[in-house]
Amino acid sequence: MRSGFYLFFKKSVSRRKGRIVIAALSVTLSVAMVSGIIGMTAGVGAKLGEELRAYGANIIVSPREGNYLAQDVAEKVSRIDSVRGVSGQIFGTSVFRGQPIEIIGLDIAKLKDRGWRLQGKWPQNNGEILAGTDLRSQFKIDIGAKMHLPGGDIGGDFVITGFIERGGTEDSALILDMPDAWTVTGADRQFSAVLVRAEAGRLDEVVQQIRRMIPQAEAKTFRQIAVAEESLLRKIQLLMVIVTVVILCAAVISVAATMGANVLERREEIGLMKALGATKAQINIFYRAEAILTGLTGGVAGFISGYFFTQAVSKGAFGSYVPVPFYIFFISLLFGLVISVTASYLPVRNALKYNPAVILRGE
Amino acid sequence: MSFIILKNIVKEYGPAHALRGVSMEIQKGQWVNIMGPSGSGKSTLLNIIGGLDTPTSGEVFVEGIKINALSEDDLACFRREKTGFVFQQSHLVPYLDAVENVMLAQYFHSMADEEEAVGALTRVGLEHRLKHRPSQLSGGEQQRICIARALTNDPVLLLADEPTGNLDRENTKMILELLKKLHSEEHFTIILVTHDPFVSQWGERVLMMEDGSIKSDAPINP
Amino acid sequence: MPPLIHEALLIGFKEAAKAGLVWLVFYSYLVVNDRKNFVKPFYMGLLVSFLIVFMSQFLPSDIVTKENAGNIISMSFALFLIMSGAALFHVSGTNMLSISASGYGSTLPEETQVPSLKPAAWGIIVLLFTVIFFAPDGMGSLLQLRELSYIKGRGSMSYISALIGVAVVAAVLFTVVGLYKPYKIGGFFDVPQLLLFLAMVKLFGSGAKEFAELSLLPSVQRGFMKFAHDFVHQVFLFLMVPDHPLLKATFWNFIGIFFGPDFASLVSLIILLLFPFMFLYHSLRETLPEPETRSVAEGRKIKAFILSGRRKRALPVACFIVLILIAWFSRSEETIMQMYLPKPIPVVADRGVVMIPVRDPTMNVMDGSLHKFSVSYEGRQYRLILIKKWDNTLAAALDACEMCPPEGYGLRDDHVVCIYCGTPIPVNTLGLPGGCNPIPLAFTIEGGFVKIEIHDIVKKWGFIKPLQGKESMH
Repeated sequence: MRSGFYLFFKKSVSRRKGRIVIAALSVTLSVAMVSGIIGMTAGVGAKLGEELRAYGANIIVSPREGNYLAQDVAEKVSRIDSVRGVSGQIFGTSVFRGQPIEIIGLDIAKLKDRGWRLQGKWPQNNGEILAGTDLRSQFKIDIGAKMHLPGGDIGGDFVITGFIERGGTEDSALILDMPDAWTVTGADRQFSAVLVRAEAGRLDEVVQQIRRMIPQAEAKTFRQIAVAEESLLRKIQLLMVIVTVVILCAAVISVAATMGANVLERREEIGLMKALGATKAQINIFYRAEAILTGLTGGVAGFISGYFFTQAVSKGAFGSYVPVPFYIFFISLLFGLVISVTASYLPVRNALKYNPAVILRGE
Repeated sequence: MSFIILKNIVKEYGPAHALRGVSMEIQKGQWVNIMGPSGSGKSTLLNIIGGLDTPTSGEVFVEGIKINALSEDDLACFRREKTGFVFQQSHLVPYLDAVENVMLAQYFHSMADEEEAVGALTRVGLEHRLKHRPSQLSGGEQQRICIARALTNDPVLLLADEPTGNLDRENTKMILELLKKLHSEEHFTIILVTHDPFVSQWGERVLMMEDGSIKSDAPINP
Repeated sequence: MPPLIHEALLIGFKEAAKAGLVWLVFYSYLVVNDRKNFVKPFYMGLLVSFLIVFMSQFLPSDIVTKENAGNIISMSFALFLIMSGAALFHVSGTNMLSISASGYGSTLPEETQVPSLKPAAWGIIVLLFTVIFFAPDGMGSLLQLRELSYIKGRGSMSYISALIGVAVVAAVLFTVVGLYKPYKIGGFFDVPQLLLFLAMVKLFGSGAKEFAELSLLPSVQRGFMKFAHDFVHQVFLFLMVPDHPLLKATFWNFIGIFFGPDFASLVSLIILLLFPFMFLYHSLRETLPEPETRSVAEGRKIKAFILSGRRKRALPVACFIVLILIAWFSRSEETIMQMYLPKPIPVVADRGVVMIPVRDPTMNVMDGSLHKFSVSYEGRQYRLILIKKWDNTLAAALDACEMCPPEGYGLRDDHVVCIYCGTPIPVNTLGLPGGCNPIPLAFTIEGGFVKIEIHDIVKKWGFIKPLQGKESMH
């Protein structure tokens, strides 16, 4: 590069701020969309994993035959090395206002720090229960509603203290604390399943150990359960990829239009440079440099706005912020560069083709 | 051997003929004015001599170089080292000030040199307008920047296409006097296109063009 | 067919790659600058180098030969580095004499002027430098190959492997050159850059010691570090003599920064980068000569030509700087920071004398490594170290010095390193008292045992200012 390039480039940028800003803005918008979408896809994946972790369990132990496991299964499992937590659950059904209703029995005290969304209060005493949020509209019930649930020998009367929302099957079930659940389901001191949290990386080992220790139980890692959710995630990702590609194409076209207008406006300048004896390469480098600058600026700005976009959407959709991986910053820069360089390529090439004699006569 | 030799130059724009076989010679240090009605091909002829346009057929020699055979990049090299252009519309870069506009020509030639650019502007009497942008200057001043720009790379050939076309009589005279001074002091070869009879009285030789060919070629008697 | 020996393959590959790269750059340089008459001396130099390398086959194979080969390689590196600097100096002093700039398309004058020596003299110089460049490396590599064939017990297989490595490079080189004719790269070099390039090839491509050392970098690093350390050490010794019982440990920690490997490494890096940066400065900052020409524009054109030439030739130098930085820091991570920390072997004091066998089935104190022992006496623990010096004598010392809390020493390359303050101490200086050196012990070797008086140990352990720092025992 010759001495002086920097001077002219600086002047052309600083004295044509408006044009550059508009071009950079159009890059920013597209990069923001793209990086926002990628951020959300990555974020949703991470979020899902996090929720699974929040659920706490990565191994599920269920009865091989019959419906229930004895209570001592939980104790046995908890004694295994590298098992960090055990929670027995019971699933059953009851009837309310003539309709079947699912019941999940678990240790509600353990739920409190798992990130379930709760409206109302956690149950304090026997006879207080939580309901899935879907039930609220289904049965037109509210906090404080009284329910009689038949089951077991006598059944029981319960008061709803809160509604929970988790986005899973729990949303249409009643959550009962353990003794109450046993009463309703009549399965005293037994579990439908035991959820186990084992050290990650030693899951298979723990599964084998459980199978050996408790022949009547089947142990599976949660991964197998999560497959369905993974496939859903993959579909979401595919959708996002398609959307991204579409946006990218639209972005290139719109940026190309903006930059094309910029170049058209400077056609006279290009003709003049030719008359002054500039080669195509020398002229090109000015426009290439401007495209790179626009792309980088737009990329950075796009990343920042995409970040906030992601967080805003995520706050709306998941009720919490998602972590945006840092590599998206580089992807944004790359996108910005690719968009603005490709978009400016054709207009500049065309402008260079004009006969300077015709442009400069300007009649 | 003459400084500039044109041999049977034909230029076609599609079906239209701008030049129909022009042949002539110009000696080094001569000031030639080309006159003619609009559409007579005088600008095309100028552009072909300056390497800004290429003939459809025929041969152009400048200083012994056959410029119609040069590649695009070599032609650019020819323009930046041998020629200086002045146009009717001044064609200054709007976002650069006077000095920077001159420096731009230096940059494409070799490298920008502010001191030299200031010197070039001083030569055309614009030392008080160095940091003004084209929009802040009068038409005459703009044309003088153009002359400074055209001269800064020390060309052998100064080509002017209606340089005074947009100027009033007073500014026209000023520009012409500047050219005359440069011509007599530094012996540039000047080719000037005009349709203004007043302008054509300056210089040493007048070519009359009509419909793509030379009608008359006569020296000016002062 | 017996399997290839990978190390040998690598050696052949490396040497051929070096030669190929040098040939390519030098040849391109000659082509671009129209000095092809130097091609012949270059080839002759290669031939002479080859003969010398072949002769070195008959050198004795012992440690001294290897050591010497390593030294010669290092010296030839230094020679090229310094010469590049000298050439640069010469160039910057040279002005452009005859400038015959003409129209476009014509070539403009060279910035450098070859001093007026007869071409024959220049030919001999080219030949000589070619030999100086290639012969030491080739010798070193041949010695390694010979050792490899000896170690692996596969006779000529190591040579065959090396030849295969050479063949691979040759094939790649001929293909690339044949297809692309990349002689344009010659434009990026001028005499100083060329010499610097040679030095860099040496730096990155010449192993001075073991097979593991593919490049000269560790030796240069070690050499510079030793220089930096010795210098700093001498200065402090000079300032601090006779003794320094009043200085607090914190002060010594501060001083330790200057003794430490980080500082020495940094200093040596700066020394190494000095030349490339000089180049860059020259290329980008040096004022341009004012050429005398017919017109100002023409002068400007010549200046622009010179400037762009300088920038072009600054490019490889900038690459060298980046390479050096990357290599230096990735190296300093792996080799400089690793320290050998032996566990102390418990020994007992028998009738006031500590007896350590020079050689027993499990250890040999003369093997050049660091050996640590601990002895318990009257309820206290003492540690001592034994190590063989380069002159094949033994050194015995406490595993502590007078200044630092007695954390002891580790071994890194040719230095024992104070664990507490990180000061590297050349093994050869062990046995000398003072400073951060381990406190030396008097010993005798009798009947296959190293004998040290326990009273000496106890007395000297008392010199340590142990009690204000943490007295952590291992």
